[in-house]
Amino acid sequence: MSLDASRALGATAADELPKPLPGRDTVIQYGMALLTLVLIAAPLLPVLYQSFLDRALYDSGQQLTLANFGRLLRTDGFALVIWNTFVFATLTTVISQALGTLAAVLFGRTDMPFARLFGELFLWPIYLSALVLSFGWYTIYGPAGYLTLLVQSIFDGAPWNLYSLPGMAMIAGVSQAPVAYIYCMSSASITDPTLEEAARVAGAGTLRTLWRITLPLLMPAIAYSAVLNFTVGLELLAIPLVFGDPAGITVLTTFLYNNGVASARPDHGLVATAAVVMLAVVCVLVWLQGRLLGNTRRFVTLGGKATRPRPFRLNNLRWPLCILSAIYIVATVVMPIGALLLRAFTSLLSPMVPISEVLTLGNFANMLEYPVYPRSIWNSLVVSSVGGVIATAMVALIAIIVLRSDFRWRGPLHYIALFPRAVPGVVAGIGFFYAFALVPGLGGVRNTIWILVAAFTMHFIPVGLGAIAPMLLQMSPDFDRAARTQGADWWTTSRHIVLPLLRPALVACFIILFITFFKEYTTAIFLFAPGSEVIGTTLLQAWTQGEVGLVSALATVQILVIGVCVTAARAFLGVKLYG
Amino acid sequence: MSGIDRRSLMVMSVLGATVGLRGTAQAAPTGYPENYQKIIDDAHNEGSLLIYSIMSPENWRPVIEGFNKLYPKIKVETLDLPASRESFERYLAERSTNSRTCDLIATADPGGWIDFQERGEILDYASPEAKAWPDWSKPIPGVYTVSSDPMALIWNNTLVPDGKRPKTLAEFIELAMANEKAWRNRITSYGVHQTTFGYGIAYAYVKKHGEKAWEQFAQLAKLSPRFERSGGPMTEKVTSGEYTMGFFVSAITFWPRLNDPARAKILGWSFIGDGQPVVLRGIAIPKGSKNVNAAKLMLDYVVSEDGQRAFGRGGLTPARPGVKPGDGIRHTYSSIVEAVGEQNICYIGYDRDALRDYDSFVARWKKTFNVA
Repeated sequence: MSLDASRALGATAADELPKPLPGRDTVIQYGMALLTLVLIAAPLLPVLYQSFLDRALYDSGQQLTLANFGRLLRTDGFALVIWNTFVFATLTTVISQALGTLAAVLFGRTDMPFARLFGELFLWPIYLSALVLSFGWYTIYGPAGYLTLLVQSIFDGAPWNLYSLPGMAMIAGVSQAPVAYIYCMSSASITDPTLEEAARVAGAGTLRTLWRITLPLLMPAIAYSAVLNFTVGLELLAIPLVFGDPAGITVLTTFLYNNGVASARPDHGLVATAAVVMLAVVCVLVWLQGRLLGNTRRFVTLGGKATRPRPFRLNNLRWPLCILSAIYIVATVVMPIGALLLRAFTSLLSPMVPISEVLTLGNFANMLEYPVYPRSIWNSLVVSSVGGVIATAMVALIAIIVLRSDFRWRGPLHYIALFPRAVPGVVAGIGFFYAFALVPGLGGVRNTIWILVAAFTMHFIPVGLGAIAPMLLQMSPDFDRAARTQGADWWTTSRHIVLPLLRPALVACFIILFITFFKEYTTAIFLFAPGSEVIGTTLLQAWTQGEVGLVSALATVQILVIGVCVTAARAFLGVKLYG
Repeated sequence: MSGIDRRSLMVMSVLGATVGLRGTAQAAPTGYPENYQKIIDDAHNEGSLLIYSIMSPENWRPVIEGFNKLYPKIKVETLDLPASRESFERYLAERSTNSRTCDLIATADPGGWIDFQERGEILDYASPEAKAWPDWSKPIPGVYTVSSDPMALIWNNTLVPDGKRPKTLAEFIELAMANEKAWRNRITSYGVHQTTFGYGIAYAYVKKHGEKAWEQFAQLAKLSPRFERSGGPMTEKVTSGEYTMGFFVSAITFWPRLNDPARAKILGWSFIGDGQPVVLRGIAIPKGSKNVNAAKLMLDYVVSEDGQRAFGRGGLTPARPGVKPGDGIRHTYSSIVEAVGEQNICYIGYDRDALRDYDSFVARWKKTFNVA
């Protein structure tokens, strides 16, 4: 490393260290940086390239053109697609922020009974995939759902309709509310309780304190998670596919799905161009998110705390609010998931037929009978465990290069490694599909689960970094310095000091990635081939074939595996999942 | 028979390897030409066979079992592709990139077959079974017919009481119109704008009835039907009561499900007396086939009496004239003709007009049903 570079980085510590000859360290650092760059650029460049081509990028004789963009704009109903997407994402954001903030205050800051328990249950939708959740909602609140028919028999017609933008946004909002909740909770835990005390001393009541002090202090967290949830709303495929599609409501993701996966003759120009549009929008949003996060620093409330935050007293409202919360949890988590599990053990679920007549293990027998289902479960386990290990190793290396080395390009590397946050799963999937079609010699990988491992790893590098970086930042660099002054090079230091100390963070990272990979489906939907199915893709396939029994059985397996993982991770390892 | 209703994307590779291996006698079937023995020998040298089709592994299972009794050493793999056009698209994409592709294609997409022929991708193979088949089943040199699957009317028995249950599309529409308000969004069918499969059915029906068919569609449009891409969800949602009735629903998707007595109580169905659409499933060897001899053996077996019965047991509707229901076969071409009369059958045929009219037809459909 040249002197100039060190100076440019302003690295004070680095100057004091002996400089081992550029060898191993350089190779590892450059190698890793290059690998990261390739992994992230690989899916994006072909999508960009394809959007400027007049035919499929693997056809011969293609020409560069801008026509795709014009064609996309002129596509019948595309304006409506954009509008639907916008409305859906906005409603989702509003609902999830309102629910999440309310829950954070109610479960985190009041003396409501069972607040902690509710807090735990409130998080559950985020552990399960939106796909499974929407099947659950369908069984309860769908047009022929249990509760819908019950309500219909009492009143004239059910007051809800899931086959509509507000209905879909309700499901999405509930499944994303935990994100708002988590951000608000962590923000609440670092704010200075003396501000609230001051308000109380000044004579403000509970509501007034909440309104004038607590909520304004939560604003940065609310704004930040709002942008996050808006982005998720744009990227979400499962809910619009299950509920929007039959009702003829198309959003950008289902547009991509219908024109790319479900279409017999995919219009690659159109698909890639729509993907580019989506990518651009999400990039802007993520940039906005960065700005907001930057701004949160202005609300400095972090400091030594003289007092514990005092819970708000609810007085007479304690039990009514507790009952309301219980109803919410039962209605949004317990019932949908419970009904899905019940459906897995019945041949059909209809109020017109008593349950005792339809109880069966047939769905599971069917699931095991046809090789594709056990195989998809097995593939999911392999992708999540082996892929999780590979991704954790990669993320760990990136983290120590970016945060614990004097690598010349660590700044840009950090930026690149976080970039997948701006890449929607559908776009990543389409991109890897093109990349593997384009590069000769990769055909062999195309029909295996390794393409999924590559795509999942790329897509979730930022998630992994989020699990490792905080601990790395908290770890004193003195350990490294001690080793380096003893003459160890960077790699020896990393291997013997930094990584072993990081072990808890690495375990957490692996578990988070395992769960994330296990429930992922959007990225896979463009990439799986016969033999490389995962649970998410067979779930969707079975759903489109109307095999609700199989869907429920598969979902049961997924819920079971994730449930065991989450519980074990939280109970025994004390891993903090999400946030 | 339980569970032959699985219609998901999957490869079935095990049967070929496990069923056979015992018997080794592989003489040519009786009545086949003398040089057939050479095809058998070459096929055994090839040793494997990959089929792209719109049929599920359950449809294929009895066929592959029967095939492997004759030719135990050929390992058969099938890949079920959910959209009818996909077999061609996948083949063409793989051929252009020189990847491994299939040896045999079986799918229900007449327009796709015509297109495939125009690309010059069909091997003109003369099967020794060909003479047993009528002309409508051999539309293009090299293309044969696997099955003739009827599209039916279905309904929820608890919502459509006995005595009101339709036998014709006219009765179906009459019943729908009588419940215009209550059954809004609760009628289902294939979306012509969504799948070529749906297009083929509606096109054939319109071809038979002309403007009258469009008037019928316009009446149905008043109830804003919900369109699905596959028969599975239609059956499931009619059973659950989300939909009250469905028209032009592929019978082979729900027949196997009627083996469940709880479902059979709820789900009712009928042929369509005033215009029975019948989907013809074609089978042919593409020129890119690497195991062309194994493909020939399979094609011959599929169109043989034995193979037809096997597909019947696997849930399809045998098309070879003379094959009768029974022995696990619910219906055959012959029994449909008996039920509705030959004059009432609309073949979803290899109709070049259907290719020509696609855009205008779909546009009119979209306008009629007010869908995008």
